[in-house]
Amino acid sequence: MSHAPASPGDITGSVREARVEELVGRRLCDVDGRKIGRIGEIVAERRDTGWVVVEVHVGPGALLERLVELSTLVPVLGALPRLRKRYRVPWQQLDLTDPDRPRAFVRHTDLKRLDA
Amino acid sequence: MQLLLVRDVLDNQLVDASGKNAGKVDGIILELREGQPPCVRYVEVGPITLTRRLNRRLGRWFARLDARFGSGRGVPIRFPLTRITFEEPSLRIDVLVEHTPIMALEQWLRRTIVRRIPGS
Amino acid sequence: MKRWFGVALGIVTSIGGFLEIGSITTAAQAGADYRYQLAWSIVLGTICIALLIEMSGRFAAVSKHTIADAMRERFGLHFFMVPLVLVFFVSLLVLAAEIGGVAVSIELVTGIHYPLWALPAALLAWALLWYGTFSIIENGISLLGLVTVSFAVAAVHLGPDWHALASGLAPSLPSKEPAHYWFIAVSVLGASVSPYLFYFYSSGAIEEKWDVTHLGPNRVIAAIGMGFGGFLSVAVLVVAALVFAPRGIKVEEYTQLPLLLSAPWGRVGFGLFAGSLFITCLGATAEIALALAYKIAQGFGWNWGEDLGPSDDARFSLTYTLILLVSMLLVLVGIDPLKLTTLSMALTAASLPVAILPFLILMNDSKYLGEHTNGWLGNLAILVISVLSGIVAVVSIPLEIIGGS
Repeated sequence: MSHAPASPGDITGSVREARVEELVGRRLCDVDGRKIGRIGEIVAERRDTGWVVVEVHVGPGALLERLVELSTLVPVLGALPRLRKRYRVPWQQLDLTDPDRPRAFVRHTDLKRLDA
Repeated sequence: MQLLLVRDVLDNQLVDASGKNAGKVDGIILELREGQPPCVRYVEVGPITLTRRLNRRLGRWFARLDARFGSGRGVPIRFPLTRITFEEPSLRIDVLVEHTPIMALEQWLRRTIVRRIPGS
Repeated sequence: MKRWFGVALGIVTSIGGFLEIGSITTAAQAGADYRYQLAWSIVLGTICIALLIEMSGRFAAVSKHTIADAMRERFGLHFFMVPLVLVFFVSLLVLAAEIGGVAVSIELVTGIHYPLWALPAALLAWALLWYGTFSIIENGISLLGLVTVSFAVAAVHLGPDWHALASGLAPSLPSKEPAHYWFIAVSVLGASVSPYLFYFYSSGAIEEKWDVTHLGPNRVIAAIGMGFGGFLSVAVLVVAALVFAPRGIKVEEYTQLPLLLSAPWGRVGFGLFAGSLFITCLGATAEIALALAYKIAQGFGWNWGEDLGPSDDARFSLTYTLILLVSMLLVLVGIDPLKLTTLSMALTAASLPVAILPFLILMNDSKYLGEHTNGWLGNLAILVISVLSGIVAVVSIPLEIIGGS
């Protein structure tokens, strides 16, 4: 267990940090500055050195996701589930130099879709 | 093995080595490294991280307030992710929570108020 | 054998615990103003709460999470805070109304004005929580609450128009004053479908270590227990229709309520009413304070449990202590318990969509419930009732206030 000062993207010694709870919900823009969506999930994998981030999932944002979920309970609003466009962004394509303004290194048309 | 940090870690319940509730995962810290994938280093627990999520200024104010309660206070409580085992319905840390600052408020309330009420 | 005893106990405590000042007052107003015409709103509210209670128990037994705990986990902090804050403030008003109910019941017997009883009432509820266990509160109080069966006896004794009652069980348009009609209808719904109930119930299921073997008994308890409880509410409505309506009495003062049982049975009836009000409101006070403390403790991951001593869960215990203190102040300053009751019931109905819809999403999440997720019929019923009641409440509350009732 350890204590640490609490600021994201701060350089603590030579260590730069970002906070998952602050990344989630942030708008992700592509290399042209166009909005892709909002970061909804961050996927990690176990390696020898510990857990590392392999990709993030980007989607329409939490409120809209909740409305889509409600609409699927009783399928009367067929259009809503189609709002569920979600993308995978592998860590190599992610630019977290400024965690408050995350960007992708590629155009959103080059991103892989996540199956809804 | 994959871990979904938002679904399976953030805001999930932590229990300590004895099964006692140890709070919720209020924050997760990533270490950003040049040319390498970000490393998931720590989970953070406690009201400083919690209030910060609601409002950064509120979090800083709360940290200053907490710092008045002794040395080592006023900063969030972190646990390395490697010390956590993932078992439904909670996440287990391999420490006893009574020995951590997580229980500071609980212990203070117990001492100053609860124990003074007869029959407690 | 033990399992069936538990079921019987669960049914009995559901019946005994169903009525409280909200359901008594709203049913009395419905009967006084519209005779049997609003009986359908009690039926609808009862069906809704029975479904929600069953879901709540099922959720806890299968997922081993309480609802509040799972809400934070599934929706994250910000989406958790919205229903938390809303349900908290509305439930605080309901809690004040229940403390008021206890205080009024003592005033009826002693003649001493109710605000003076606010502190003793809150203190009594607090002592039950601080020194008691979950079983004592759930079972003890609710068993005593069976005194409310006297409303059913009174209803039959007074000889209602069964045909008119049967017609009232089906929804109908108002015979007069439509804004007031719908306001009473949503107040009745708010009295039956109180969100604190399913937070309480799922926490209780975890305290009692339920698992999948409890699913069958859970269904029976929810259906029969809530069903009979709703039947008692209808009984109050019937008695009001026979006691107040013919005399042209509108229920506007809490001092009128004892007439429900004193009209047929004189002083014995008066005593039965005071006793019923005391026990049911005391039980509800303990339940609501616990439910709110559960919600906060579980949302923030603290140690919690009525079966733990206060030394083991200081934050949890002091949370319900503070909640009781704040609610008690509303009664102490002399806010009229009847007005507080009616308003808090209507506000509960208005808040139902925000309180229930996140829960509904959880009930359809197989990560928590595996193969025990909701069927489409249960989803549809809850969706329709909660959204409709929310809309109707939001429209009718301002109209009622403007109408000067």
